Amino acid sequence: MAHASVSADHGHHDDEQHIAHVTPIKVYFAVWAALIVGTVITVAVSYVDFNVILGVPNVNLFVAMIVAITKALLVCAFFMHLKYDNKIFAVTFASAAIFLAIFFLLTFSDLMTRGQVDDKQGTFVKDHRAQQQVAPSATPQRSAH
Amino acid sequence: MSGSHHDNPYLAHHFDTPRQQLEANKLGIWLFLGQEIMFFSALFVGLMIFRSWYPQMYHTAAHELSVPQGAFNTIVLICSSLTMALAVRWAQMDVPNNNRTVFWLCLATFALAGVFLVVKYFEYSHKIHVGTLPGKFFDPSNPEFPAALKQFDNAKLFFGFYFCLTGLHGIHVLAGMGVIGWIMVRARRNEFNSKNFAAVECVGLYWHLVDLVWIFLFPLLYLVG
Repeated sequence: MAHASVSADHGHHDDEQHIAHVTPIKVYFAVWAALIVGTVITVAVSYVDFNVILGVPNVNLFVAMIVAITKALLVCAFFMHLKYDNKIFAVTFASAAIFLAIFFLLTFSDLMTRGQVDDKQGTFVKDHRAQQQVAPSATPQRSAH
Repeated sequence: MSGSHHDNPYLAHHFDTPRQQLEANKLGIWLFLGQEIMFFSALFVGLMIFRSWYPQMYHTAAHELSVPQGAFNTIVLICSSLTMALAVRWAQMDVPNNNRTVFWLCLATFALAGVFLVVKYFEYSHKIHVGTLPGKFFDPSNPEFPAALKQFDNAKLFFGFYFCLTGLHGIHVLAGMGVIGWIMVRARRNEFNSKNFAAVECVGLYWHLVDLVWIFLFPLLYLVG
C-alpha cells in the first residue's frame, strides 16, 4: 500500500483502506507560479485607469475580480485538493460561495437602483452616488456620533 | 467490532473505513471554511456598498495604502500556501524522513506567516503615526495626516473597514500559526504517514482559506479604489 500511495492515478478511489492522493510536485509549483503571475497582473493592471481610458466605471474592479476568482479557483482545485476529492467538499464550499453571491446580488440590486425609484418612494430612498459629487467639499462639519 | 479495526491503529472504532474517517474529518473542516466565508461576507459586502456610495473618497483613501507592501504580503502568503501544500504532500507519503520534511515545510509556512504579520505591523504603525484610523481615532489634525484626505471627513469609514478586515484576517493568520505549530510538534514525534495525515490536511485547508481571503482583500482594499 505504501507504494501505491505515491501514484497520482485515480484508480484507487474505490479502495477504502488506501486514502492518500498524492499530487505530483510539479502541479504544486505550476499553481504557485500561476498565482504569482496573477498577482503581478492585478498589480500591473491597477496602474491603468480604465475609467479614464474607456470611460466605463468599475472595469478595474471587474478585471481585478476575474483575476482573483481565477487565483481562488486554482488554490481550491489544487492546493485544497477539491479537483481530486469527494465532490461533497466542493459542493459544501460552493454553497457558501453561492450564498455570498446572493448576499451581494440582493444588496446591490437594491442599492444600484435607488436613484431610479427616488421620486416614487419619497425621501427615504436617495441616490448616494449623486450626493457624492457635492459632498466632499460641502461637509466641513464633523459629526461626533 | 470488525477485525480490520485492529489492523489499523489510526482508525477510530466508530468509523468503518479509513476513507470514511478522513472524509468525515474533512467535511467538518469544509463546513467550517464555508462558515468562514459567511463570516467575512458581511464586511466584504459592507466595503463594496461603501465603495459604491463614496467612490471618490474610497479612491483617495485607498491610495494612502502601500501597494508594494500589500503586493509583497500577497506573494508571501502565496509562498506560504505552497509550503503548506507541500507539507500535506509529504505527510501523505511513506518515504524516509517524511515527518522531518513536514516539520521543515511547516516551519517555512510559520516563518512566512510571521513575515506577513511584520509587514502588517509596519503598515499599522504608519497609519497610527499619521492618524488614518477608524472612528474617533481618525485625526485630520495630525501634522502628518495625508493632505489629499483632508476634504473627506468620512474617510474614517474606509479605515474602519481596512482595520476590521485586515485585523480579522490577521487574527486568522495568528490562529493559523498556532495550528501549524501544533503540526510541527506532532511531526517531531513522527506521527504522520499515508494512513494518518488528516490533521496536516485539515490545517492545510484552513491555511489556504487564509490565503483565499487575502487574494480578495488585497485588490479590493489596495488596488481598485
